Amino acid sequence: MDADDRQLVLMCREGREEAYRQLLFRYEGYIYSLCYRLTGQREDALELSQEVFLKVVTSLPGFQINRPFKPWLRRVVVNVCLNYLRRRTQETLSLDQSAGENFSLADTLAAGRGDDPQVRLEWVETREALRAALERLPPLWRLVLALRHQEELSYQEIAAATGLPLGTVKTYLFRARNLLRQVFSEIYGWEEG
Amino acid sequence: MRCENELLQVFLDGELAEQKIREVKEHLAACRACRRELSRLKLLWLELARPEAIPLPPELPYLRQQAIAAARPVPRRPEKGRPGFWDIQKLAWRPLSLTTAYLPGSGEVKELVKAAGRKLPGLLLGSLAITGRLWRLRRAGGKGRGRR
Repeated sequence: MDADDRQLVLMCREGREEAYRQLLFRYEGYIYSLCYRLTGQREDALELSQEVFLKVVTSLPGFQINRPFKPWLRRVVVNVCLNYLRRRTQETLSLDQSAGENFSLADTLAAGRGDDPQVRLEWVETREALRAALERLPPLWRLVLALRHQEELSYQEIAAATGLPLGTVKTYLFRARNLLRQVFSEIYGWEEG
Repeated sequence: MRCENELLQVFLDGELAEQKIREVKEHLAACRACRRELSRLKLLWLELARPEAIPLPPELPYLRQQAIAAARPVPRRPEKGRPGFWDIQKLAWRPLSLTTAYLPGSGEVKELVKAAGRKLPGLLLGSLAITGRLWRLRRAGGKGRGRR
């Protein structure tokens, strides 16, 4: 563990408010960004960040001091996000519901921006298209993508962090990336076959 | 080896065994379509891994402070200066104990206690019994004098 993290955690365990403030300040950007990537919404990410802050403060006494802090924190964030997504999608759609076959760039931008897709197609940026496409993915697909490409976790580590079977992790990754590849194909005008 | 998009994805993820990596590399050397697909996937991988600057909302410090205030365990303070039951008893009886210190023979009480040891309660009970008997005799004597 980072020496400063360890020291801060020990000080937190003594109940020192300043230590809690420093520890959360150090990781609040990371917590919020991860929540944002997993949910794709600012308001949801804020609500989840608050839940993570509370969880960190209350669960810190159970944290094993000889372990690294960041993976523990990531697990807390992923669990909070998963619980939230499960709660939220109970009445609406399944967490791993397929995004459908018509995952075209035009549809993606129409869903993301509400503007006339034909006009925007001409000057759209790859980054913007990718973000819009990511927002349309089922939450669990987005979750495994974020853990793989942003957090650089292995398949096995993603399975452990999310509680999903290893085969499911792979399937979600492949499907999500195939859909995103379709969007790229349209942007760059790739010839298929 | 057949052309497989999924295999190329696992290859880029670095999740293939050594033997399989060799096979994929050999295939790539011979298959132009797969080389093209690999370069396209690499582009996607680069975009997905690119750190996105997510603007942090100004509410974060407030939420952080709120969570700390709501859930932080309050440290237990050492009970400095707060007297316990026995401290109060000591203070309450101090004037009496100071006064008795001037009585002749009071210095010997300590020695007496040491010498009596565990028998002290019995000794006290015995002395109380004697005092009680003397008291009763005195009362009886007083009544007798009154009748006269």
